[in-house]
Amino acid sequence: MSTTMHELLTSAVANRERSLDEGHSFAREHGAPVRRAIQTRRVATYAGTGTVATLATLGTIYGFQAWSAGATNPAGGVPSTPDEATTLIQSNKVTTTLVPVPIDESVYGPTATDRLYVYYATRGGEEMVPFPPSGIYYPGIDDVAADAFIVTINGGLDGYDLEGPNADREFIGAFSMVSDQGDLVGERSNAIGPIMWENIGHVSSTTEWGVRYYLVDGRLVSVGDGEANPNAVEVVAMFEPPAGS
Amino acid sequence: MGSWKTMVEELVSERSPRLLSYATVLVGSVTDAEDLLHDAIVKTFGRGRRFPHVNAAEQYVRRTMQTLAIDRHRSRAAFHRALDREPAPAEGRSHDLDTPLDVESALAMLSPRERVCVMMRFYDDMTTAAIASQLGLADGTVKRYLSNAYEKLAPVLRLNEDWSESPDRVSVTSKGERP
Repeated sequence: MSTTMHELLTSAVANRERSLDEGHSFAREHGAPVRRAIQTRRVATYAGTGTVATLATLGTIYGFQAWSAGATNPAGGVPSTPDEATTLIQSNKVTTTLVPVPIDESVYGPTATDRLYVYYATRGGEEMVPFPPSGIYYPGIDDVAADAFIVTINGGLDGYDLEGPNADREFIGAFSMVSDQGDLVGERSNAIGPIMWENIGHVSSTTEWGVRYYLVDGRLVSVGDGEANPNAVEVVAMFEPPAGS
Repeated sequence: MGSWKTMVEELVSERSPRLLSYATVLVGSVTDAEDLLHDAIVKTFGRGRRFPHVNAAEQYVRRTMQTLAIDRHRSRAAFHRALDREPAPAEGRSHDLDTPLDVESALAMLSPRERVCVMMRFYDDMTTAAIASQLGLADGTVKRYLSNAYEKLAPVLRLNEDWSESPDRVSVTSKGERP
């Protein structure tokens, strides 16, 4: 029987496909990791050229921004820059690259000047959580892992109330807070420097891109007089390029 | 859910068996094929590329796998050279001509580049010029790969034409199909 090379190859692929259909599911085994990896890469892509290269090599760092809305930031002033925060974090033996992800300001226009940056990081250059992780999530993207995320506030944390690890709220239990030395801080801290919020559980979140995320039921950080203010800080995850880019 | 997510979900759920099969024939191992497909999908969708329909996405992923297959071989070879302690995987293996081979086994005798070129030329119906352009090779290099592939495949697949000279749909005979 005479056949063509094209037919031989087509037949080989078809035969392979039939055999793979029996008991193999790429979708089941790779679907979620693929989605996570894409999500990560897209975050990196839009995070700026200065951080992409490092991010790509580490692979476990993610970032997004957060800022307070409608509340007074006692620290005031402009937000910490990534460079400043990087220096600060590295000085605390947290090896990371900070990745502030652009925010679609058409969706959420920042009105406050007191912007917070929230970053994910590995600590000490070690992967605190393998990637893909087991059961570690961060808000904004479900199924995506981070070793920890770091909240930096310009000028330190004086005047800020930080939610503790065991607050009785719907999602707050998903977080614990550790200091820049890795110690558990507790419910309140006025420490100076970056605070790591270590994500130790699952955070329920929706994954629509460009929408606002209320981290831990909108109570990641309350600002001012210590009263919980669900609207004090909104964490916004932006995983698509701004329109027109 | 963003459009890219929808597209990825559709691609993975509906097209991954075919893509994985293609990848397996391309690289010769299901495990390597899974990695290749995984990386190709991530690379395809990781930069905000959009596709009008899943067919276009599938085609792009397949092209990405072709390029990645070559790149991986380059990286792996360089890695082994750098280590200088373990030989790089052999490019192809010899075969007892008296033993019939199926197509996949026959392809395993080819080097990774030869194998990719054969797949692109005869499965994807690409011209040698198009293959050369995509892989960043000279046209003559692609023709040489195809010619070398023919020399290896002809005895075991009973190829009866030299498709390195006449690459369009030449008639070959599979050894296993001979009476």
